[in-house]
Amino acid sequence: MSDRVQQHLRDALADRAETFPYATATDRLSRIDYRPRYDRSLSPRVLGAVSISVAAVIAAVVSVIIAVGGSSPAAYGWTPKPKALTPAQVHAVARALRLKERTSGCSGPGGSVVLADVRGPYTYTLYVTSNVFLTVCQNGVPGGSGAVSASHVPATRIRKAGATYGTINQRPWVISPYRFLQTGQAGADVRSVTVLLSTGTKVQATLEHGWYLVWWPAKEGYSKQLIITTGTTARSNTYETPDNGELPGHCGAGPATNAVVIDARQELKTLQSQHLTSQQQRTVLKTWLRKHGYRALGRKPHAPLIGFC
Amino acid sequence: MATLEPRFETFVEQNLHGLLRIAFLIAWDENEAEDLVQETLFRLARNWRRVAAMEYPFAYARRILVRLAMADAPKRRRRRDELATTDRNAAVSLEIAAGDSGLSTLEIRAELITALGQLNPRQRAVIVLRYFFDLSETETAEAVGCSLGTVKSNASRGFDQLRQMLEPADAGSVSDAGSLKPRSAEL
Repeated sequence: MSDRVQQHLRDALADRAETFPYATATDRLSRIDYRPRYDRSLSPRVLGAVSISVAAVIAAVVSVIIAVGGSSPAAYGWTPKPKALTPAQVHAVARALRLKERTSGCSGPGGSVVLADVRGPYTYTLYVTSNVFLTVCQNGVPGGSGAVSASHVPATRIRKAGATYGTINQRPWVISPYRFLQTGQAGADVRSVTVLLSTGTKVQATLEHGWYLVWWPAKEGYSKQLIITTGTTARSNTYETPDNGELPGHCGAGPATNAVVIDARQELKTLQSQHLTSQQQRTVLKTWLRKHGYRALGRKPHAPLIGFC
Repeated sequence: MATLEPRFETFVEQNLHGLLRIAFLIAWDENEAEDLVQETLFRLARNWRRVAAMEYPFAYARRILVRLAMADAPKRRRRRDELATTDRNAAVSLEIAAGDSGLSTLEIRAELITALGQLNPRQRAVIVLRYFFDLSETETAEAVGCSLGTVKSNASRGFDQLRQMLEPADAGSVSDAGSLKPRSAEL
């Protein structure tokens, strides 16, 4: 191996090593006492007795669960399948939300509610207006957030010629628990949208008025695939989706029916931490977008990106 | 034992940064690096009386760390495949560092980082210990817990893999890795 390559390798590893947050990690580790307070090893006899006791307790708990009937509920009442609402119920949800916003001082975005996604005690409502083309509200969560206005989500449209697909995994701007949310537009021929999570759970999206919305607690896993059923033949189009909400994945090909919303806040944070000029930020963002198969139509490098394929 | 505790704390104070550095470069993941160092320190502490008597306690700590990293590697790799973001973040940050100036060196480094992240843990451990921490082949074998021949073959295969990942698909074989080129020169 040449010296030049060795030098490249050393430099690359040094660069990589520099990205580690030593200060925070050291601080975190230093706060924990690693000195053993007791010997963790147990004698075989004690170990056997403990194992039998634990097994008995587990068996008892499992019996109780089975006796009560059914598996344990999803986290915090969340369900992978949304509750089906009639148009009248959607309007009722919208009215209740408006009332709640007024009474809580949370300013709603205006516009019409196109979609209400109800899973257990949670209701996410999607507004679409001429300016704020996407807004998500959460209702029914103690201490939950209010509407997200256009100023919170400035939008830059991105298109990809001939592509179709869209997905978002983003860290929602709500309080804990930590959740993932995907939303976007769906064409007239889209019959259902489902997200396959890393744990194998399939989460069905609410699909109304050409928009879809799906969310899940992070503990349920990461998004692996977006399954879109289209047409009368119920064809499933499966797309790989971004993993953890920090970076979008690659756009897939398919019928031009769906939308994509991209949360590029992580990129923007990284850019801002590099102290680059706005011109450099723009160039880097464009490169990044091109690399991921997108074409930016807007020039808002400081704004999170929301766009369509 | 109580008299030895300050020495353990001193050891941690002096070597935590180094251990984290090794763990991060081998595990290729921040959280995993912390976990590995945590477990390493725990094991050191349990045997601190014996470790403190050693000539090079850090070498012993490094050996524990590397072997722990090897032992959990498949599980970690599966998890990282699911998350698969850290490497991209690193690559993106380097691309960002390059800005629009078209610095080929930074591009190569960005590609190298991505490629290193795709090596199997043993190959990466050997390359990191051998070429970044400048350990001899014998010391590397000792740290990784394998034979000298395994170190050589892992290093060789690792570099072959790096070359393959960095070469353009149509470039054919490149005899000297000094001519490595990134796959994409988009900046």
